[in-house]
Amino acid sequence: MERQRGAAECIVCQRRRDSGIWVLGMLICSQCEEKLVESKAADSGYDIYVDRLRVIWQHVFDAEAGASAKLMEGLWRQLNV
Amino acid sequence: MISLFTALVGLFLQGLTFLISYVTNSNAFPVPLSEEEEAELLAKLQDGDIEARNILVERNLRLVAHIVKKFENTGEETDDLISIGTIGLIKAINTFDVRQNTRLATYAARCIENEILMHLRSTKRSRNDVLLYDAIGADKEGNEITLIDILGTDPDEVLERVELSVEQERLREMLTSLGPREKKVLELRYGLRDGIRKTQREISRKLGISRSYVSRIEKRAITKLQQEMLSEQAHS
Repeated sequence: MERQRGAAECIVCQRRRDSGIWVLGMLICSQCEEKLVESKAADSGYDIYVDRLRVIWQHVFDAEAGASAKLMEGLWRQLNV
Repeated sequence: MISLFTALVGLFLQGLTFLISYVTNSNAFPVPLSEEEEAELLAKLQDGDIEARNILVERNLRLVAHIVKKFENTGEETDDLISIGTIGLIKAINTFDVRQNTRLATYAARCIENEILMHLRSTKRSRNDVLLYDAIGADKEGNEITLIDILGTDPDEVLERVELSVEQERLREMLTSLGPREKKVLELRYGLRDGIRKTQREISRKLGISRSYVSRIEKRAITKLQQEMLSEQAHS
């Protein structure tokens, strides 16, 4: 039943793994996923998950940064007219 | 032609608003599941289809952005909240029980919100802490001014120098108890190696992590050092 997507680098532990959960083409390996599900916001390692999972949304943040830059460019042009 | 005012307002309003509209309108994020699709995928998941689980996560990602919007006035960085919401979503997929007769989206929304609330609660405790090296502004040249810069008193130089060198030695020993990243952040932030103190933003660029993450590493490392010092005092 299980369809294999092949091996990839886990976005959390950054080791090459072949099983786990895939989110928008990014792999969180089974071991990291298990630890993530058990983690609590006050745990010392929690920040690492928050930081590493950011990559899933990176293209959104990049697009946002691009839009800001465009708006700034427009502003700059108006100020220089 | 848009007015300068409109452009400025636009710049302030974008950010989270942009994020929500991007997630909602772009093709980069899969559309939410219908009730039938969700039931079908959950049945597949019960039969051991791991791919179904991936789809369930991806098709609920828009939910994360929508819930994060509720927390836009908390002063937290949006990208942190989005990441935390994603953790909540993954937890939801892992703990969802089909026998509960609730829709996964309803349960996931609760988990995402809970995850964010737990984070806010855990950061609230340390929010009132003020560090002597916290930036409080900048001088005319744009150099960062920290609290300690304006708290200076006439020093008793000899005594202070001796005490300082003893303390530095003690601190150097204690730094070995920190993780490599914590040690690195403190070294850069307080110029422990070269005497040049870097801002959190500079460190975040250097280490390839976000500024808020640098801030949290710094706070955690300092707490560890404080605990170490207290336990040392208790044993001496």
